[in-house]
Amino acid sequence: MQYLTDVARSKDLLKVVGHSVIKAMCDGEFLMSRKWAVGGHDWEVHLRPKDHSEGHERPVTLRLVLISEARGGDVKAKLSCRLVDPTGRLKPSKENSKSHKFYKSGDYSGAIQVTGREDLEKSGYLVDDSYTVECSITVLKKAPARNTAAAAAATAMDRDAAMLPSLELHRHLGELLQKGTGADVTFHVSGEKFAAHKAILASRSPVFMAELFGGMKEEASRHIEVKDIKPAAFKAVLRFIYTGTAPELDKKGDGGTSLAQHLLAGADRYGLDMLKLICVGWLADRITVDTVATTLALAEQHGCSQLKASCIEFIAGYLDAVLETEGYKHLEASCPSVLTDILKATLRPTN
Amino acid sequence: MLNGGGGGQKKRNTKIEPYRHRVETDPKFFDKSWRKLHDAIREIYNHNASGLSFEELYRTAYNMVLNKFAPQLYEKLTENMKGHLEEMRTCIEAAQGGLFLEELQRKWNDHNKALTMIRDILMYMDRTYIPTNKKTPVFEHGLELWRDTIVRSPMIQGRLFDTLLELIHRERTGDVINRGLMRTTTKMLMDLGLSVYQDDFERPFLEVSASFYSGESQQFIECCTCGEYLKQAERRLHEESERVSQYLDAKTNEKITAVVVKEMLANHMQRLILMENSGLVNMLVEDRYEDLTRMYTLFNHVPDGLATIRSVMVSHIKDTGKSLVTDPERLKDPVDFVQRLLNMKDKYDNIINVSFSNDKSFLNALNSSFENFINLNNRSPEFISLFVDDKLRKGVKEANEEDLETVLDKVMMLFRYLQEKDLFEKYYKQHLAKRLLSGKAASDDSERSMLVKLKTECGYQFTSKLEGMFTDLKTSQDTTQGFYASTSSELPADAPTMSVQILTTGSWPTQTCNTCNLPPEIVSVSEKFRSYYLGTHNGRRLTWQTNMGTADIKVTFGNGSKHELNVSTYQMCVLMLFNSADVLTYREIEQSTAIPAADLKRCLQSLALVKGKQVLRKEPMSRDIADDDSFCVNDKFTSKLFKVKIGTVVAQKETDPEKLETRQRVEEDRKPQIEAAIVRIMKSRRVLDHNSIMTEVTKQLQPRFMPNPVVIKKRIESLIERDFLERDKTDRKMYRYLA
Repeated sequence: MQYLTDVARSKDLLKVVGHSVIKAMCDGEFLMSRKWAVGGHDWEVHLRPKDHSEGHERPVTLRLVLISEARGGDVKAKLSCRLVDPTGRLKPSKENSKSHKFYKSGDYSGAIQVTGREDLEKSGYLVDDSYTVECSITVLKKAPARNTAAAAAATAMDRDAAMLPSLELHRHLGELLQKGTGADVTFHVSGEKFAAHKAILASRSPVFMAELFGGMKEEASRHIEVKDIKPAAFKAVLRFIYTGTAPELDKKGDGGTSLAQHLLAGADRYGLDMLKLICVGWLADRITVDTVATTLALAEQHGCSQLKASCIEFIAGYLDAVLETEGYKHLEASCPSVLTDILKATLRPTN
Repeated sequence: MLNGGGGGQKKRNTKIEPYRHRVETDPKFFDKSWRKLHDAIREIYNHNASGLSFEELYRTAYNMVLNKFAPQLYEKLTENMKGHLEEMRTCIEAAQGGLFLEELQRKWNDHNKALTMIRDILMYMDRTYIPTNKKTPVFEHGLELWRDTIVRSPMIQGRLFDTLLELIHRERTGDVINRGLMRTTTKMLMDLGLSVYQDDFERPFLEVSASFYSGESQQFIECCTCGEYLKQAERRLHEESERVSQYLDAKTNEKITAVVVKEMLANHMQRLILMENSGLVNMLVEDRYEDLTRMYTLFNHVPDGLATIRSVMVSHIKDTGKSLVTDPERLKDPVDFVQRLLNMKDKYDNIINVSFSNDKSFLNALNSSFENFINLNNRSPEFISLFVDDKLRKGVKEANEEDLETVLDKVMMLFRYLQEKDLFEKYYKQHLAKRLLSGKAASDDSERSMLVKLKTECGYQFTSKLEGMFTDLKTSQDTTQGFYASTSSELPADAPTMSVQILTTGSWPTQTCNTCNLPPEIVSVSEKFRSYYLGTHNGRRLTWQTNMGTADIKVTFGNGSKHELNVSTYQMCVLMLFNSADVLTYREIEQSTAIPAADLKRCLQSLALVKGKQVLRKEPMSRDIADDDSFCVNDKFTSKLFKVKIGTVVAQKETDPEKLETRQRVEEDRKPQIEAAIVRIMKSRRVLDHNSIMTEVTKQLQPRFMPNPVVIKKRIESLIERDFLERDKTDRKMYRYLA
């Protein structure tokens, strides 16, 4: 497999407060987002409550603007948007996108219609004179050019690879874990058993290396009891160790967030940095009013500073809603120090 | 129909509970947790780790960190490890004598094992809290505590390093020590940080070593020869390198080597090199290659070491060379003189090649030394030419062609040293002329090979006239053949055969034009040749140089014996007189032949006074030739050989008057060369000051000879008088070129 391209993505929420007053803006006037760093470039999103250039209905539109200079001559990017209900009662609206090639600072994409103005007021997304647009920026990255010799070698390798059965080490090891063939250690986690192979665990996790070969009781033991971790999370940890793949969290509905949270803690505990990053990324992309407080507590405890910042940012924007959740009450009890951070963020001027 | 028994057991759907990290509200959470870890650490230090549960201990530390107790945990850990180390220190301090290092080593191993396990248990803190707060990682922290609590404790530090140094001292004085223990101890110091090894051990080690070798060198230099001393120094250097490879840090090698070099070599350099009866000069004289190699190798480490050796060698070579070239006894035999120079050069080339690694700076020093002393004797150019003459005459009779070639190459090296190469050229031309004209050249190839070497060295101009000499001989051969081809019918059948060498004026050494009366038989043929030659070469002038010819004469003596004599032309003129006279006085011979007196006397000496070659008899029987002596053919002459060679004309050292004449001629020849150089310089510069002209002229002519400043000045004056140059109106030191 050769990757010819790659992408960098970033998602954020734009909240418009005081819609009834904003209606007084003239045609074409726009609101500007903060600078947004994606894919090695800086961007802005412009929101026009009345975009007269898009028809007599003057819909609400977004445009993506390149702030920094385009590296490598040009940069291609896509802006996607949809209306979202922060309370979670309504499903997000249909997503609209626009792609554009940017050459220099100040270039901007075509307008993306978020919604017709009259449609907005009929929909349920306008709440308390405010509405929220979820924006996503995707920037195309070219694969780095390879030198001739390396390219020739890679081509030859690819040709050879085509002749050979594809390497499916992760699948084979996954089967080994599932079947337990030759397993030499069994973990007991809250009543569930997980058979595994000491050598594989040790090679992939420094904690397992120390536990299984460090000269303590577990080195000579075939049964190890593990506490303070959910069986599902422990299972996912083992699976990651054997296959390098994380569970498909999106398919688990609301349970995905819970599993991701438990899995993050488990990954951190066993020193699996990649798995931890996967969980952090997944959680950061799916912050909701109901889950943000719990995620914040987790981020604080496990030293995920960026995830923590994202949560605080979110809470500052939806403080009243978050205050009503069970997670927040738990947060007050377990992490009083973050309340100060939330307060500071609340007082900070928003875009 | 039989019922299948219904479906399987209904699958239970498990829902993952939302994440709820447990909040530790127990005020004794930290104390309880720490107690667990504390007890575990004690068991680890007591070698009872196999009963501990990693899962429990790691989880305990993990939860402590998650609940923000990492700072307290780190502090407690420090106190705890320090306590254990203090217990260890007590045991180490109590160790008796030789067991001290072993006990230290044992405790060090224990500490390392414990540290590894403690680090494992606290891995979560190492990965999270410690980098964030820039604390020292657990393992490194444990090493630091060991360093500060044990290695640098007052009662252990001094004892530890004293013990190490004492053991090294014993090894230096011949004892066998436990090197493995030394290795593990120094490795411990390095594991604690390079600065611990360097500051706590290496520095005092180097100081003690300096003291040791200072003492040893004082002792040895009083009782050893230079060679023995250097051998000892070499052995010590090897021992120290061996010690480093066995149980010290590799970087120490350079430092301890510097100490030994300084104390044993640098501090005694002058004394060693100049040591009487065994120092450098003695080694050079006696060709002690091994000692010289060792001296060169060892003093290569010493600043100015090689420079000092080179300087002493140069002084010695100059002194030896000067003695050689100024010894009156050596001047009597030029061939031996030059051979000794060649032998001396070979000797030092060998020493530099074998013992001094063909060091370029030494080769340069050797070259400048030879250049210095060879030119102390202003007869060196002549002697070198005579040496070449000797070799080219003998040629392959004495050695094969390759050996001859080798000798000539070596002679060229001496030639390069000459400052008066033009003087050599003049002598070489004379000697070459004699070889060519007398048929004494051993090999045409060898002669031309020598010419090529000279041309390579000094350029075409230097050898153009010499090449002209060869060309003349070739032309002469063709001319003689042409002569006989065209005139054979005109000559009587019994006419003598004549071979003529036509010498171009200017190519050959200047000779006094000495005519003599040739025998009538010869005159008739030579006049025919003259007519032929002038007839085919318009505008030529032909002058006979009778003093340079040879002749073969068939003789029948009174006793009936027949011989063929090989004689000079002068000798032929004398002998032919006796065809028509039985007895002749010296005065009569002189009158008849018109040969100059000096030549004639030498000629008659060869014919009458050389034992075995006395074809004439002289009355009275005396050693000298007098005007009233009389000569007659020796009718009793006998010889085993049919062909008898009389009086080879051999090149001789010049007599003093001849030498003076040659030098004056050389000086005279230099004047136009100096003038030409001045004109060349002024033509390109147009205006130049006096000193610059001096410098430039000297630089241009230096390859041939060193111009005399006084002569340069005179030539400038001469050029001014002849309007090639003029003085600047305002500055009399400035000269101007006149087109």
